[in-house]
Amino acid sequence: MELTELLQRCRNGDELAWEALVRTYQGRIYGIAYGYVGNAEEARDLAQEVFVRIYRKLTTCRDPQRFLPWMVRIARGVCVDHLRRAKARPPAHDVPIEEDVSLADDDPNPEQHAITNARKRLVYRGLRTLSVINREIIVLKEMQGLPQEEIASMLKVPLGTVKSRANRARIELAKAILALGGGPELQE
Amino acid sequence: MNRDRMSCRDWLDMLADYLDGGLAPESRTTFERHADACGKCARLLATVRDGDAPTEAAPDLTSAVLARTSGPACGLVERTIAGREIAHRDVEYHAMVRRHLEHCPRCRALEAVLTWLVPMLPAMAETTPDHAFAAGVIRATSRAPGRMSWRARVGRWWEGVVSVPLFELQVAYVGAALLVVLGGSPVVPIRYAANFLVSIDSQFDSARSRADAASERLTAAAAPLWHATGGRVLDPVQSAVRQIEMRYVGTTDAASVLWSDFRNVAGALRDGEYTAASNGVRLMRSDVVSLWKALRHGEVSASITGGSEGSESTRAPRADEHSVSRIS
Ligand SMILES: [Zn+2]
Ligand SMILES: [Zn+2]
Repeated sequence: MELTELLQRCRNGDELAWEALVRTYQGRIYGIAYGYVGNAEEARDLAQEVFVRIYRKLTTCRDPQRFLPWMVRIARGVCVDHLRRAKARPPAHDVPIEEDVSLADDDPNPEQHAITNARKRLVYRGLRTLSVINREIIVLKEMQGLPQEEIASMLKVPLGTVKSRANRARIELAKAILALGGGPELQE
Repeated sequence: MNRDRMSCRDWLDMLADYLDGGLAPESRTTFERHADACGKCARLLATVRDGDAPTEAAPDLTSAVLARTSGPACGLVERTIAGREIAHRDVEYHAMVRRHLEHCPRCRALEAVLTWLVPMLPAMAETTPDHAFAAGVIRATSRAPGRMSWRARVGRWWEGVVSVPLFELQVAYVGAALLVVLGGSPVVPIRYAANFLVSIDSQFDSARSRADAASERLTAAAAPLWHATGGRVLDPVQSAVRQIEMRYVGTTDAASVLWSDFRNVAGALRDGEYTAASNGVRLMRSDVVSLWKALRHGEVSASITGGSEGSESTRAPRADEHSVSRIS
């Protein structure tokens, strides 16, 4: 079903359409939340919170062309809120990333699959050590592929900052991964 | 103590006689033994014999000279290998980058990570949650009354207010005062102050090109010095220089980030984008913190620098050797 149609049905209270929408976009929303918090439990709660908020605000999204950035914007808002509150009340323990972030299960080569998974876990761990702005730029620009103008207006920073940070954020992430021991042993 | 051991200076004094075949057999043995043990003198001998390019004989001169002049080029190389931002540079530029990578294990390790990291990130746009996730969302939304109580809303709003640090307020105050001082008038100053900031920027650029020229001259001047002394001048300071160099990388990086954020804020002020400018100021705060960290700790992690320039560990004891032979 086309997105315009789907959104229209959701707005009219069609539960089946809403379920289809959730199933279509859950991977993306969960991916964003995971990028921000790097923890499956938290990411899951946040992603759910994001969908609840999307559900309440569905009527405010008129343009289906802009649905994706609109959704990402909401997800980003929820995640940043969460991080800000977590900073005010730091958790009693730092949850390590041990859970298997299983993605791309269709990989036919188990060895390559193991390397890919190890690398993804490293990326998430590395992300947690970055400053929030660098993390946001990695999640929004590199992972979600949003245009720089969109990101600048979302983060309310000068466009030049997004441009100059994009490269810097990559370097910082690569350095964080190296510092976590993601060096030579993970090269084929 | 050991008469067999000789300093690089003594060795250099004997070099001409050795090449002419005018050395006594025992001096000849001592001379050759030093060349076997000392990498620098061996390279110098090879250079003299084969007429190699002198730069090949002195690879360590480069990093030492860079540390005293322009600083290591790692920052520039990092930016190049991380993306296409410097894609407009010519072929020669990229050849220079490859050359740096050959000699810099740190940048090489970084490049190896970036090679798999950059293409992998877009593939991480979607992460599948477990099967119960969608069902949970639908349950949560279907019975959602859609309204938070006013108490919960006020609570949430208050939490937000409390978590905003007072720092922003202070920065705004100082910034406003600064702008008034720079611009003179309390009514029109912002535009002029921003232009002023931008003009500082261009002066900074010209200063940097002058510094580049100076460092080239220094490099040229240092080369014969190194050859004349057989590397003895640089040898004892080598490890200290290396440490400073590592700290320098972290510091210049942090400083350049701070500087570029500063420019962006100036640009935003000039264009009248005040929200963007104030958020830029907030970024500058974290820049200052990381600059401070880099200055204090030399932020470059030990695990990265640990394996730098494999020949270093074999060279370090030789500095002691020279000082011992000088005392004896
Ligand atoms: Zn020597
Ligand atoms: Zn380097």
